[in-house]
Amino acid sequence: MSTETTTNRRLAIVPAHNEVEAIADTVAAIRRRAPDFDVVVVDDGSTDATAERAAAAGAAVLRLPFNLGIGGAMQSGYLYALERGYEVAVQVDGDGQHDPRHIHDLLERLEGDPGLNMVTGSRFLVSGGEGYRSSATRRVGIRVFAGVMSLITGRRVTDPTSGFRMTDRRGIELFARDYPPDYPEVEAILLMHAHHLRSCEIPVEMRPRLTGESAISSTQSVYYMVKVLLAVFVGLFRARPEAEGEDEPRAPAPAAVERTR
Amino acid sequence: MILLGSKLSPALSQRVEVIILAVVVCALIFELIRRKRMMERYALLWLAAGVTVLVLGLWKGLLSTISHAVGIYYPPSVLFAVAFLFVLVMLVHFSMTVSRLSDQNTVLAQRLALLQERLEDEPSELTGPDGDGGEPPNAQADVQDQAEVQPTARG
Repeated sequence: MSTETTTNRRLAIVPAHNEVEAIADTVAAIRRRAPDFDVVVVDDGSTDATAERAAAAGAAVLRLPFNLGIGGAMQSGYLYALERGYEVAVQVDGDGQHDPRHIHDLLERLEGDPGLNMVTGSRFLVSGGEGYRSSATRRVGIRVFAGVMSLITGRRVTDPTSGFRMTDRRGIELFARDYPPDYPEVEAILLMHAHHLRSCEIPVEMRPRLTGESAISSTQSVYYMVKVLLAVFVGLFRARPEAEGEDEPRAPAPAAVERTR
Repeated sequence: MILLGSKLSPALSQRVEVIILAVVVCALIFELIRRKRMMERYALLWLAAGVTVLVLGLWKGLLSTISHAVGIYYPPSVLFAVAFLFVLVMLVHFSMTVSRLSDQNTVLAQRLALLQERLEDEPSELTGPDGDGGEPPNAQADVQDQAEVQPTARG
């Protein structure tokens, strides 16, 4: 591996669960397209050789001893970013859906606006239609969440379930401390909003997943939709942090309680 | 109970009590989620139970309609049957959860023991960062470290 730059301040977090076919390509693509990003693969209890392939491709690997789900896996990545002092973290799914070429589009947007804390790549802002196919149930779900989240945050959210998102240090600190357990993307938007952190979307194209299966089957989507709507609804009633609370523990819940999630 | 019974007819006051009970259950669960004492995935079953009771309380003829449809002539029996089933489902659910948790606990303890052994085995290599981290200068080097040192995770 090339070791000319040893002080990358930016990190790509790649959650992967049994992505043995795609992980090496994904890591290689990130290293090629975004060489200023370190890569950490969070192996979420894979039963195949995902971790070995990722390490061989030059990524740091966090091996979770059992499957935590996407939320727990991503939070491990944010904890890693927090501990190592990274300034920017971007989530790039291990299955190849997220095109690393867009990493710098996200970065440009994030760094171009100092008030911005998170930039999400949206499939539905791409001109010329969808650019992405998914099951009807899931599309309805995304539509519903988009409406709800737009209403809550007061700005247009088109792709609330997109995991292709980049956060600054504030976002890393927040997510390392508190990140929703499963199907976390929608709730994370609410979390950002509740902490007065600003986020926006830019158009990206996503590719059909190379391998593996989606974390959510069609039958499960309904269950998840109900669950996430409940979480979002309850989340609205949680006490907000004061204004620009940087690192103080959140007033209502001590850290220990927060971590029970 | 007594308070309500004095003013309303017995049947109506019973229904009001049921409705209040259901609302209290829902509110309790809601508050537990809000305080992060209960995860949504576990709360859903309880909320479903609360809402079911609420619907039965609000919709007057529903219970007897159901009991007739299933061929039970004493409507409260339907309630008991459903409640029993629900409790059964909950218990099985908890047994599964406890099993999974103790399984994961074992794995964690084993991993921790292995890590500790490695830490004590090679103190020189790991005295530097020692958890407090903070700066990423050796991130790149660590990449290689992990690639080489980490044993196979599973399977």
